[in-house]
Amino acid sequence: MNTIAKRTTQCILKWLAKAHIAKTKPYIIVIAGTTRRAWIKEAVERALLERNTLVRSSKKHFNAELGLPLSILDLPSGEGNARKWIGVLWQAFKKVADFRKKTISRERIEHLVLELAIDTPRDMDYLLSIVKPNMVVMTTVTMVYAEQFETLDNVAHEFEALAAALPWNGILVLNADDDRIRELSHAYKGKTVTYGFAEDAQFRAVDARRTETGEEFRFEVKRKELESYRKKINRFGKHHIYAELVREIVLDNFKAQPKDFFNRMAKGLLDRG
Amino acid sequence: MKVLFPRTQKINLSPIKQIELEASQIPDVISLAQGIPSFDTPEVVKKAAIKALNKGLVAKYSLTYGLPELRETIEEKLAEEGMYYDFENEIVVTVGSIEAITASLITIIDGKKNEVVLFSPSYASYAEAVKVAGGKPIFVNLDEKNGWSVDFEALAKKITANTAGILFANPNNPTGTVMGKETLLRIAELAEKKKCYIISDEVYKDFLYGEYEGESLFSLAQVPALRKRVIRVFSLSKAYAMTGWRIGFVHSDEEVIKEIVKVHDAMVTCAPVISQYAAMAALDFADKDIERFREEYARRRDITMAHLDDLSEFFSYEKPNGAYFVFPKLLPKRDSWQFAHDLLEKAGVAVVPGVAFGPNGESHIRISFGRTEKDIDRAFERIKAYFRKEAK
Repeated sequence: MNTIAKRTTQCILKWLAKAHIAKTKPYIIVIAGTTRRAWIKEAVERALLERNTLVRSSKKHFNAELGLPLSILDLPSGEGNARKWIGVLWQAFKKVADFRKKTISRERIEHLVLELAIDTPRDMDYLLSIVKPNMVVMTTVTMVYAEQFETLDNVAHEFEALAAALPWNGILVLNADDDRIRELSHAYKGKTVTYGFAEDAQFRAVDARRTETGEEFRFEVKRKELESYRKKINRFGKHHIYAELVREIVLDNFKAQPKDFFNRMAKGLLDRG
Repeated sequence: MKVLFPRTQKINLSPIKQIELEASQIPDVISLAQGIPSFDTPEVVKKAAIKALNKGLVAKYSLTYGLPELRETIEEKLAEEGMYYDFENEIVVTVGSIEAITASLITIIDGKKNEVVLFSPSYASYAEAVKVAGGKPIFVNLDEKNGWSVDFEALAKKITANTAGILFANPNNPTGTVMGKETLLRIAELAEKKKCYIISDEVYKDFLYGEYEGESLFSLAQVPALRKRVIRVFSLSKAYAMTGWRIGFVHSDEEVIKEIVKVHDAMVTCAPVISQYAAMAALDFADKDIERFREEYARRRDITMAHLDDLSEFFSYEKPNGAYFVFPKLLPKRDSWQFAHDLLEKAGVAVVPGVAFGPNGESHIRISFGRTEKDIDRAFERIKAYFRKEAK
């Protein structure tokens, strides 16, 4: 696709995605950071499914100027093919213009888990012009995009805009082990939850060790009293421990709604999960 | 007289490269020798590389382990195949599979533990890589009569206290045979008993045919109990038609990888960064291209076998179920180097002499059906004419 065609497609998709959000009003959970997004997204999705909610998450790499609106609209990419892109745009129009009660009720109760990826300064502003999050989970600020941003502080500054975009009743989930991410708590006055190995993390992993079948750690959560028990996951790597902590945070913040669950089951809507 | 470079004197240039070199000097040669896919790299991969280049992302070294985003992608891909490895500590992006293999061999070969068991026939460069790493290749013959199967009695005898590891490709190059779960677990049992490593080269895992079609290849790296014993190697060269990009990866338990990465760092610092970006796009977006390639290879395999059936007086062969090679036996038995040279000079067709793949490969040739259908047909026309002429 040439630049003009790409910009036009990008612009149309942006407005259609905004219209779709306005119509369906999903609860939007954004995963951002330079690494580990995929596993955090998977953990959030898993937790929401455990809570019997309808959830849809973005496909891998559908997280930037073209991918994000496609994720919101639940449409595939046209790849490098102009005809395919016309088909995608037509599908998007049809979706946005579909005001049938059944469609709206199906999509209105949805939790949408989106990855936002930035690779140049001010990318976040553009992405936030498409979507406003209700909950943000931040992972890390690492050197992955250092060339484009000159310093890691500049990368963190992009994420600051994301935290500041949360509504008053939003939730900001921060990795307590990453200093720049921790600092983002200053950018948001609402509910903030921290996770990690740091001593002051609210959802904390302690005494992690590797076994033959995966990671094992003591899970601690600071409520009125300290809750603590050992957990085992069948994956290897610290990033899976972080993902597990985020899963616990989601479970803690989203209560199961059995009534809705049975209603949806009766309507045959649950298979969408 | 003092021998210059005594160490490298023992190492041979791969016979595959030798044949290619000779073939390049003869005009109009059709080469069925080197295992190069006839396809171009998928568009999506090329575009990703151009994008990374234009964004100025490729001029600098990456981390020695490789770009974190690529290793994350690799971890996800491995998890889809039931292999759970930590991208931060257990995966290293390498310069194709041969660098991964050589770095692994240098890591595991130590002092008296310097023998590496190879199946015969197996990929020609394995023995040379073992020698480069300061080791000694020990061949165990595969049983041709039983479909190039592993002779476990012979294998058990060859694994001694001096064995550092067992290195094999699955599917095997040059025979195209596939080792199933039972065979692999028996090999692992022997390795566990003798405390030696297994290097499993799975570069052709996506090209399975016949009874294996539609199945995914079992890997010992899927067995959690073998994490510390198994070093698995994969390259994007064959699966994604990216031989020139020189990109692959190796994964194993952290305690093994932390040693391999030191060798990798000393040898290459990091894999080419532009190729790492290309690899990321390949792993994420080019799976349908793999299927397209596999279907085409399956068709070419049938065409190749039909030609060999026409020449049943001169060749007998085992049907390959994987990779894109067939390894026919020469009838009557004859010197494979001489035959390959003769075929090259008189018919203008390059094939690899079987002896290049170990002693048990003698009197065979390796034919690649990675080339185009047109090339395969033209090459066999020439081979048929060669035999007709020889009969006169």
